[in-house]
Amino acid sequence: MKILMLTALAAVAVSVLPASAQDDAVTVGFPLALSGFVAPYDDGPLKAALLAIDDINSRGGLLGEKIISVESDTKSDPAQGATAATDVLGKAAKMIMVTCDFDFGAPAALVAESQNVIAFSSCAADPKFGVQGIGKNAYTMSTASISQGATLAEWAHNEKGFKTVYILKDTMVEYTKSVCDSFEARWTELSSAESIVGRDTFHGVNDTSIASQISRIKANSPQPDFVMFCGAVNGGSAVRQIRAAGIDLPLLSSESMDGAYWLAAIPNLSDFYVAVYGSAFGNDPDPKVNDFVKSFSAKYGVAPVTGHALTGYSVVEAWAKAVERAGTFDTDAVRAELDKFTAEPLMVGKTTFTPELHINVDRPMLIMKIVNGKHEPIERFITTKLPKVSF
Amino acid sequence: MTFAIQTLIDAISVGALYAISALGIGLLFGIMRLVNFAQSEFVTVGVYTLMMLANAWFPLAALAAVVVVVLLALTVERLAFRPVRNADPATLLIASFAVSYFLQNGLVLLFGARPIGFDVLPGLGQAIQVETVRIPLLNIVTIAATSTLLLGVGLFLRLTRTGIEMRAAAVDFRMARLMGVKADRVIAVGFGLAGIMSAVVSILYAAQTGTASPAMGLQLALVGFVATVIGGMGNLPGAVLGGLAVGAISVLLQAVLPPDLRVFREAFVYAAVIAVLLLRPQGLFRSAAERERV
Amino acid sequence: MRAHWSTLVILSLIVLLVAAIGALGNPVVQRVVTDMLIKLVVVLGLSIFIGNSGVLSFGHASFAALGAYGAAWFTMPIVAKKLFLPKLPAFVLATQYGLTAGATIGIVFASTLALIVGIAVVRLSGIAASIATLAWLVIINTILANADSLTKGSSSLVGLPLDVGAGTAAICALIALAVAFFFKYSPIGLMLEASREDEAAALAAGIAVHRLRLVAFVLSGAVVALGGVLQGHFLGMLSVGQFYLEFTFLTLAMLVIGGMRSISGAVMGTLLIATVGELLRVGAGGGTVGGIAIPPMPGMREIALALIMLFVLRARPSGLMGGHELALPSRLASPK
Repeated sequence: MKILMLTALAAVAVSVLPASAQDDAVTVGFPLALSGFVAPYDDGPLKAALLAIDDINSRGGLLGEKIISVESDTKSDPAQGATAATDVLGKAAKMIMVTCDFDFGAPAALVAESQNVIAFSSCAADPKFGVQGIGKNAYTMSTASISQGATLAEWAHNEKGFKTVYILKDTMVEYTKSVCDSFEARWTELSSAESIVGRDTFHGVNDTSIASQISRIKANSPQPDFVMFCGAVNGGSAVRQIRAAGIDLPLLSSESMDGAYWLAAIPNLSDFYVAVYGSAFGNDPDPKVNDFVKSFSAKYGVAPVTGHALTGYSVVEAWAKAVERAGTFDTDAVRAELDKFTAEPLMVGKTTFTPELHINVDRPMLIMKIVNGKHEPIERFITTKLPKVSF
Repeated sequence: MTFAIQTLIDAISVGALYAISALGIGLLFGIMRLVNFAQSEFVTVGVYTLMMLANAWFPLAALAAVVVVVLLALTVERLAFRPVRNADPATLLIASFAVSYFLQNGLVLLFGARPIGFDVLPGLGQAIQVETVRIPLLNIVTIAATSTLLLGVGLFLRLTRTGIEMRAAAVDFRMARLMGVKADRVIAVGFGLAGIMSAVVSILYAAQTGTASPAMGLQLALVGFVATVIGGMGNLPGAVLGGLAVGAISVLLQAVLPPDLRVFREAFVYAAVIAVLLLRPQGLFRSAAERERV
Repeated sequence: MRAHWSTLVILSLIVLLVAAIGALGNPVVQRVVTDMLIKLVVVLGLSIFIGNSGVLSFGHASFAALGAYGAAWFTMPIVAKKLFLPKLPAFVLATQYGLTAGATIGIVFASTLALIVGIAVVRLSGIAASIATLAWLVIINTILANADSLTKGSSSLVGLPLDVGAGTAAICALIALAVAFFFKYSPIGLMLEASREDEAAALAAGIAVHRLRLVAFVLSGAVVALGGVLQGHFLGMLSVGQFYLEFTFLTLAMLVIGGMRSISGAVMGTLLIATVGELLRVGAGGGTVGGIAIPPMPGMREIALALIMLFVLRARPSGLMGGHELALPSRLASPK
């Protein structure tokens, strides 16, 4: 009993330690998953955001003030995310960057909203991450999942000239469902419902094998021109099983399959297309992105694992631009400037916000092709018909 | 027709992996009433071992996986389970959660949560083509491994002294101890066998997925756990058949359900599990030792 | 019976003390305390069934989920519902209730389903019953994760009013405590306890074990559902994954480590694990304690927490309280 009370008191004592705020500095808070299962998705964006802070500080800071960062671990737990946000906001953070996922980032953003502080998600691709789902201070630097799916459909149809498709969708997370659904909607508009020769679902974690899904693809005669593959977490395992079964069809996928970490499962993978924010491999058509990869590698010793890092850099970039234009750190003034962003050239690409929409729907994605296990850039592309945004 | 035969083959191969998993869980459950969730991490640790040795000569990597997992199983038994061996099943279960949580987060700490791709046994991806039906070598190997393990464990339990002691312990642990069975030894051997089975699962699973991720063993353990109970607690062939059945039903449902219902597949599978439990509370293949005497 | 009353008083004072720490602490402490009290509601709910019947349930997280969604359908502002859940039945879309009414609806909804599955579960014994509850959890999780029109499926549901703070959580924890206490010492609770010790003898003595277990199962589902409602309105959002295996394992661990055979065990287990977890979270974040710099060690919290759990189980296999209740020294022998 006594021990319990002492530990409880100690908890109070530890957490009320005074925040180290400096007078001539402004704080940016990072309530992110530093550990646990979501940590890999926050790692790159966080490092990139810190790089952006270095860049701004080396140019003399923001409104004459140095930017300092505070981090707090959400433990990959939504409830802890809210606590972590409370933590950094208690240390006077003027803006917070939250997890690259709606479920894990939203609780933290809701806390920021209640204190009228701007909360940016690095790459939550759900349009709910904004005015409608969280509040007027919530933004996400991602390109909406619905745009990604539509973009892949239009690119496959118009640029590749594919005629028939098979759709394989991971139903574990909302993101992949949304990509495949918007793909299907745009593809049907461009072609016809009949050109979708089949569709199937799997669960990225619960399905230890996708043997049944593979047999269904193989049962199609003739085979489709390509497979729209909406996979995420264990996508590498699914691709290995697909290729091992002798299915050499082109596979298209979105940024959840960015990065080379899974490629060793399928040596010499070819004919795999992926739409990403930018190349993490130093071969982006945009030299600015390659410079970013270089300075990232110089600071951290390794290149970013995926192009998602760009979104983290641009969170700080966007906020700093809005602060400079507003001439103040005041949330309402900064928000007003952010909402005026129209095709603002940021590291992650042209970025637009409106008072109603705090996610990008018309930012081109870089389509890359994997040839013999190597990523080669093709072109930046965006659907010409924007999907209807639903929440 | 081809699709139907192909689906049957898929069903057996998916079920076979679950069956080995169930065999390991069923064995420990039989001896000490332990529902060992940490078996999930035994498999995962095996996969990570193979990942680290992906470039080594495969038999060596496989041997290393077996050694590492067996040592892990024995260590876990010694440090975590032996001290609470006589506690009630709830305590044992929570201890196994704690071990599982520890190992899983240890892997996250060491390797990160991001899945890591690697390539072992690429040859098993090849398939034998019979008419229009493909039988991947991996499926044949999986089924052969399951049969061998079941047969091996069966012979071990019947023919060796330790095996007979294990069976005695499974019937009535206290009585067996009074008759001179050494509890420490029997349980340690049980964990060692569970470790071997987990290592075999990890090799097959690694060959299939080519991916190491920290939570990958969970589904196998969960199904193994369910399979053990519906197969008949303490009945090893029952556990194996239970595992086969759960895997096969999953695949068959995936094949026959209309697209809109396929996402609800797991709900159907587990509804079937509840139905089996209600119709046959002692499991499909009830073992004589399990009957409660009143 | 005085000893029992002193147990209720002592445990209530502990809950109030925790709530007071929350009320006096900074916003972070407030959140931690609220979270802890919500977990306490859930663990007390679990103890009503598991503690009294001795049957482990893996399925109660489903009742937290069902309660939370059931309440959210009615507490969410109409505008938000029309935006996020436009396919809800018209009468639901058109109504908005406060937290109390919403919670009542959620609890009734979850309890009804607890009654249905409970009828099946109580017919089974031991591990078979536990597996049935696990199967139920998977079924409900799969359905909720794919019932897009009711839950937004795998997407999160946002827009729940943020109505729960440390005060509400403390009141609910006291209610849960009282329910658990009065049930345990009611005739039903005492008969169930007898059946836990020896099911065959209890049956022979004419105790309708199945029916008693069913009552406990539904009541315990209702209290856990209250915990789910609180969690949803504390975070302001719901996702199906919040109420799955991790939730199940963590709350079960709290119960078993405290000692599942007493209410004091449920309380102490929850407070211990939650407090240690938070201290480790702060510790793993690094910082300076007493002038010594501690580097951040993300991920160490989970490892240390697991080791502490194993250590407690090793030292006290029946849990911290070992089946005893906190009581004043004049404790009478518990009536069996």
